[in-house]
Amino acid sequence: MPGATPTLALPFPYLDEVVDADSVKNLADAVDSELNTLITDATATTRRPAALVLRDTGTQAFASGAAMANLTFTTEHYDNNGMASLGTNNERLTIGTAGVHQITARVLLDGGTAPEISALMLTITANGTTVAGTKRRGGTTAAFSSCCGVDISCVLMRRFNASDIVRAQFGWTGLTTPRNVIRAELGARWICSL
Amino acid sequence: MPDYTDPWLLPFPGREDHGAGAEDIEALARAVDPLLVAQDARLTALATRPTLIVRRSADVAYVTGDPLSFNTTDHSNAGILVTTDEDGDALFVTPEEGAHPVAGVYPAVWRVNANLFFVASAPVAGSGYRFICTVSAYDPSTGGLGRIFPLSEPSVDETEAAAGIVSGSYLNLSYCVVLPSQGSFVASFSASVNGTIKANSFFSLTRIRGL
Repeated sequence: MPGATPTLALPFPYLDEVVDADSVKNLADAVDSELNTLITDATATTRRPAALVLRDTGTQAFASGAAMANLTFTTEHYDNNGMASLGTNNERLTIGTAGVHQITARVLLDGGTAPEISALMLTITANGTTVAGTKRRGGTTAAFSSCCGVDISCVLMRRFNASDIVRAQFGWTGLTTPRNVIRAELGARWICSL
Repeated sequence: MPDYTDPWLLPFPGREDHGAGAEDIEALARAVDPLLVAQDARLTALATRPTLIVRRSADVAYVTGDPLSFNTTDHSNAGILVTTDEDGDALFVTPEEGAHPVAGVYPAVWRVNANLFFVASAPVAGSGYRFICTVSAYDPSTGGLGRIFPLSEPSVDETEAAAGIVSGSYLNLSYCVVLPSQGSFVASFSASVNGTIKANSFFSLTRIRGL
């Protein structure tokens, strides 16, 4: 029976054992395996789970004053943890790895050509429950008019379990004409383990 | 006498030795073992990014001048502590040196999010309310409490300043700053109107990297 180091159990021959090529090979194999573990851990550390989905084409109409509704997305900008599956569910990210995540949401609403928009509202939900509070931009009077659109964004830091579903909900108030969301994004970035 | 590699000082038989013996292999194994363990510990420390999240688990009434308070620590690792000052009117977040998984690397870069969801109880259109959130850092190595200094200009919800506030609406004050200092971090909030700080308001702190 060879000896072994106390922590990683790297093998070595005792003094009364025959030293041959296998003695060195056994140690080399054990070190090789440990290095593989290190590489795996390092890769996981440098490739933290992250995903970002966008609406960068087409539009999504929102009626004024209606209940807040899920934003939908068209493009997976990046996703290294299988969080996005827009072909199946185009309104969500599904958390892949449990941990603290930073969630970001942003939306750009077509501002029209006249002051029509009074306020924008944006929130983030987890499994259908609002977890971020609702960010509100604007007041009671038609305050925004823009040829370029009006934007609102929201950031959340929170603990998530694997398979938790993250969505962004949006609404606006103002005149009655529906307005189109012309750009939107929803991102999730793993920060640390639970 | 063994010779040693550079820079990891792994032992191997010297030129005057004749071949390798069991003691040479054992010496090499015992030298490699702690090196691999140390590298794994470093990776673990990197993966365990020091992070704190405190939040309100339920609504709380706010009267102008009230302290900012969070009643739940949602997540805390790496010995980050949460206390209040002697007046109870601020949040102190203290990354404790020594308990930190990568101790000795201060000062560090931190990301702060301070998100407050506030409902004004008696909104008056056009009153120009101001909702202010400030994050500060306190460096204990530089002296007394008077050394508290702001790390950014106060964040003011500008959009409500002139437009009036809808009763029951939420406001969200948030921003991220880099904190190039060790010590304690303070988040404070003030509003010129009474109301409610809503559940899910939160303050978060994440270490990004050392300097």
